[in-house]
Amino acid sequence: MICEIQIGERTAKLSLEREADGGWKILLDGQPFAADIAVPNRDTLSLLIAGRSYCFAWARDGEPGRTAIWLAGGGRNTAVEVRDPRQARARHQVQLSGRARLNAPMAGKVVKLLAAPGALLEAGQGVLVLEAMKMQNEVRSPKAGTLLSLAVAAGDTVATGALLAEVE
Amino acid sequence: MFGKILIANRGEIAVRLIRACRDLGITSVAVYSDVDRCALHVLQADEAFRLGASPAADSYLNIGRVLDAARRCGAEAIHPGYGFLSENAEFAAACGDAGLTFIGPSPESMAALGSKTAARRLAKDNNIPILEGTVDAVTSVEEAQKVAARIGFPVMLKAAAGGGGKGMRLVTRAADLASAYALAGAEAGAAFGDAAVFLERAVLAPRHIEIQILGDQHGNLLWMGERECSVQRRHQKVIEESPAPRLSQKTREAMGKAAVAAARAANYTNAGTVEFLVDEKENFYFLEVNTRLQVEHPVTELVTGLDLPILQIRVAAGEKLPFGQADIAPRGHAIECRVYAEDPEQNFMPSPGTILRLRPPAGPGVREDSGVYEGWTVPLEYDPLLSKLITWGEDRAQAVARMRRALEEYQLTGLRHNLGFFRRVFADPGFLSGHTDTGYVARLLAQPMPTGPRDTEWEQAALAAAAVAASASVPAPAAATESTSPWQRAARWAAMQGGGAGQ
Repeated sequence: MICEIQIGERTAKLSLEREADGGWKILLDGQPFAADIAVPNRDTLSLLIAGRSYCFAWARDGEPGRTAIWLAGGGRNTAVEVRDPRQARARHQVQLSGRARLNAPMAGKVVKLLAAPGALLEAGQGVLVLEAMKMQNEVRSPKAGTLLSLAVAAGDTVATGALLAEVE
Repeated sequence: MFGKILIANRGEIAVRLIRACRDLGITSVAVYSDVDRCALHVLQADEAFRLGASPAADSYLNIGRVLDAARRCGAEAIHPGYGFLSENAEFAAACGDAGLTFIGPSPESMAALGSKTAARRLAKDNNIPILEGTVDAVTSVEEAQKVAARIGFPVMLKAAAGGGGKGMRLVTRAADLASAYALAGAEAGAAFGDAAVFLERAVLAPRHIEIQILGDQHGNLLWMGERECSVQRRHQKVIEESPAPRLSQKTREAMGKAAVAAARAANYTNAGTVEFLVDEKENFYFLEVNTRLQVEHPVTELVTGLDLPILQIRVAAGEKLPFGQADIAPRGHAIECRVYAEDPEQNFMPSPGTILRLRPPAGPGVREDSGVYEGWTVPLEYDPLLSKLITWGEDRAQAVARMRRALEEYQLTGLRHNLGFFRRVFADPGFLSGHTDTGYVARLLAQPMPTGPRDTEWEQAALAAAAVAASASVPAPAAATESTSPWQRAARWAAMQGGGAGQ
């Protein structure tokens, strides 16, 4: 069983193999770990690695089209993308095209547009103001470039991750 | 004593107040907006009535609808909680006109103290030190520029009707004043229905320390120790503790007396909080009075052993405070963390979503005041506070140790939240030595993330992800197997492979 995972910006290749004794051999980017894995209930995972006990509550992301899982354990909360390595290559090529997409960092309402398509933007320059939970936040351009398009208008309500604008 | 109380609020504070009613044998009535039909306070209350659509203006901020709900259920009193209508003198007066007891100070006291500008005037008249700035709201950008030029940058813009960091902006140079003035005004207008902002000299990196006050209708007015609330982001508190570390008993008492003097000048009754800025030399400046129960009231409860909502209800019903100033003897140390649905890595932006897993901590010295449950979708219409985690210890070190333990036990996932940020704070030598001021969070975040633990953290998450992948073929105990059909297992595995099986 092989998959690629992504946590934040960082990706790694995972491979899993069942051992004869019922334990698991996990290769994390080639680094081996021997783990005993148990499932106390369907939301909980117990890992014993070299005698250390790790317990996680986990869930699959409820948003349609997402392949992330959520993990909570040891005081940490992590969203992990789990995917087939072949799809990962296709994603990588899109990123190389130099076009940056601005996605909504949270669900909210577009209160105001700060730049029009065709505008030259500096890195960090505000593109629009998004309001959620009574706070107004500027969504800024991740890079210097030209504002190619705006996908929203003032007054629009957007979901988390919705495309707002493209910068090249 | 009242037989039935309507709680004009939502979230954790509504749940907290339902508990107080239950402890007193009083029937509790929840109110809700459409998006809150299944919110925890609705599920826990004895009765629940719909207010209206989800925007606060149509529900929790709508005086007519709240009063109508109170009439329909036959409540004798209304507890406003914090936020929403809690500091609205017009609402308090309307309750009185409708024959209902408003659990809080009188409308006159609220008017005298409730707006920050009115409170500044009162403090000035009573020789309580305030920061240089405008006593009244500024009415134009031009006026703001003029005042700022006179007192010098940096300046702080604040909503006159405000609280909770909304409508508040630090401005360090003249060029930023116009846009900050517009944003602060717009935020204040949306949050409080009043766009007025005033301006004062900004003390960089002050400490924010507040005094809890409590008065009955028989002339008794007490202060119940202080709370240190300097750990803030977006001008909003995230960690509070009592007693304040590094504060001399002399200053503490002077602040307590000033707080009581301000309250007495306004004929204050019920619970309230007087906020001060404290500088390096322990000079203190009056900031404002919150004429209501405070979010962070549990830290005071844990060190004093008193129940503030119950005392609020008792004094609102006309009872005398059953103790005097000399009886208030704080013991030990308490710390609170406000657990928010927000992303510390994205400048603490609100991050609404569905709580997919929730297992709160427990054990000695741990209290959790929560307003959510597993499966609940945090709405984007309101403040994203999920719960408050509070620990008590015999001293600060024990309270800190218990908080670290609780943070490690806490399992909460499905959305972004700030528990990881708290873990970082409670490992930071600056916080552990009690050296916090309002610039603390920015300084902490400017430091590079400690790399060692982060790598381990990453590795553990990766291994746990591997375990999830493996778990599809690990035999589960009988109980778990029943609810995990082969179909579910197959779908889960397909999703993990990136196929997404379309569900």
